[in-house]
Amino acid sequence: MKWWPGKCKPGDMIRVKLGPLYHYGIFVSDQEVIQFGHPHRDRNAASPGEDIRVFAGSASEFAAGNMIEVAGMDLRERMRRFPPRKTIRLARSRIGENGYDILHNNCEHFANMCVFGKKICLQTDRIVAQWRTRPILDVYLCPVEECADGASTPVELREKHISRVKDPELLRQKRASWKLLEYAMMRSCGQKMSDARFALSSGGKWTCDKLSFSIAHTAGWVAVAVSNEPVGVDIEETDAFSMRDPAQLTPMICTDAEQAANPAPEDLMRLWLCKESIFKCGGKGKFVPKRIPADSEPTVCLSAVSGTPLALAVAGKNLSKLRLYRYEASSGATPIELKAGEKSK
Amino acid sequence: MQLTRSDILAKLKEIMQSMYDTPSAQIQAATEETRLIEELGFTSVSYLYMVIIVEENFGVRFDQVGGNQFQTVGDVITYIQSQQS
Repeated sequence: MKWWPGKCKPGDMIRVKLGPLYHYGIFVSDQEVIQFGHPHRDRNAASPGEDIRVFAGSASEFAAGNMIEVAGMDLRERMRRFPPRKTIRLARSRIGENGYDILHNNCEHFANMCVFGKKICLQTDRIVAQWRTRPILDVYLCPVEECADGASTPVELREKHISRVKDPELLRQKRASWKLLEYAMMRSCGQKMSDARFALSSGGKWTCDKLSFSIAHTAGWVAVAVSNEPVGVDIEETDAFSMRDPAQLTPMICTDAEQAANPAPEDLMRLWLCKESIFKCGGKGKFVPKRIPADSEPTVCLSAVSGTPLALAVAGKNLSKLRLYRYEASSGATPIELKAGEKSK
Repeated sequence: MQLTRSDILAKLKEIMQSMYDTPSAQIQAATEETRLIEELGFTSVSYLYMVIIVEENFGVRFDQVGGNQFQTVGDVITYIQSQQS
C-alpha cells in the first residue's frame, strides 16, 4: 500500500502524521471522517486514555494542520478490500465505541478492520519485524553441575535418544546441554522451548523451527550457541588437548596443505576446533577433519576463554555480533569480554 | 529455567539500545534504579517502542499502556516477572 496526498473519496483509508506516529481514519466526506481517537480539538490537552472513542469529525479537524495522505492500493488490495459503502457502514456502526489500546486496539487497527476486515497495525508490525530479524549469535558456557538437575530433557523426542546413553557422565552432560539450550533460547530469542519443534535430520543433526543452535560438551563443561543463522560451536579443555600426541593428531586432523605447513602442536587444537565448528554449522555426513580446511568458512577461535579452562570456536554468519556468556543458576548469564588479542579467525 | 532479574535487565538494555543507531552510554550504564524519563530521556514514543518489543520478546501483555506506569527500569522488570509467573 502506498500513501500520497490526493483527493479523498468516500470509503478511503486516510492518515495524517502526528509527531512520529500516524493517525488513521475513514473518509466519508469533508465533514465526516470516522476515526478512533480523541474527539477534543486539542489532542495534547487530553490525558492518555481519556475520552478516546470512535467518533466522526471533520477532515480539517482530522488533519489538525497537517497533510492528509490517502491509501493507494495495488490490485490485490483493491480486490481484498470491502466495497467503500460497506467500509463506511462498518465505520459508522462503531461510532461511540471505546476500549482504545495503543498496542492492541488503536486507530490503525480500526481503519484496517473497516477496510479489510483485519486487525492490522503496520506501525507495530514493522517494529516487531525489525526486532525479530536482528542478527543474533550468542554462546553460553556453563559447568555441567550448574545445569545438571537430574531432570529429563524437556524435548520428548530428544529425551528418547538421550535416555539410551549408558555412560552416566555422558548422560549428565547431554541433559545439561539441553537444559542450557532451553535457557539460551529464552534469554537470547525470547523463545520457549515448549513452543518450538525439534527434529532429527537424516544426517544426525538436531534442528529447531524457531532458530539455529549448536551444542558442545567436554568433561565438566557444556556450550550452547543460538543464532538466527546456521551456527556451529565446539569447546575443548586446553590442558587435556595439549597432552595428546601431535604426531598422531596431525595426519588425523590436517588436510595435506595444512600438514605441509608443519603446524605447531598448539595450532592443532585451533584447527580441530575450527573444523568441528564448521562441520556442525553446515556439514553433512560423517565428520572427517582432514577433509575440511580450517579456513573454508569464517570462524572465531578463542585459545583461552577467560574464567574457564576452555578453548572455543564458533562458525557461522553473524560472527561480528558474537556475544559470549558464562551461565550460573544463581545469577543467570554473565558476559565474558572478548579481547581482540585472544581471537583468531 | 527462569530468567533472573539481571537477565531481564540485560535484555531490556538491549531492547532500549535497539531504538538508536549508535551506542548509548546511559543505556549501557542503566541499573534497576535508573529512571526511564529523567535519566534515559524516555518519550511517549520510546516508551511505546519498548513495550511493543517487551511484549514480543517476553511473551507478556500490557493491557493499558500509560506513560506513568513505570518509573524505573526495575519497575518494568517486576512487571515482566509478574506476568511470566
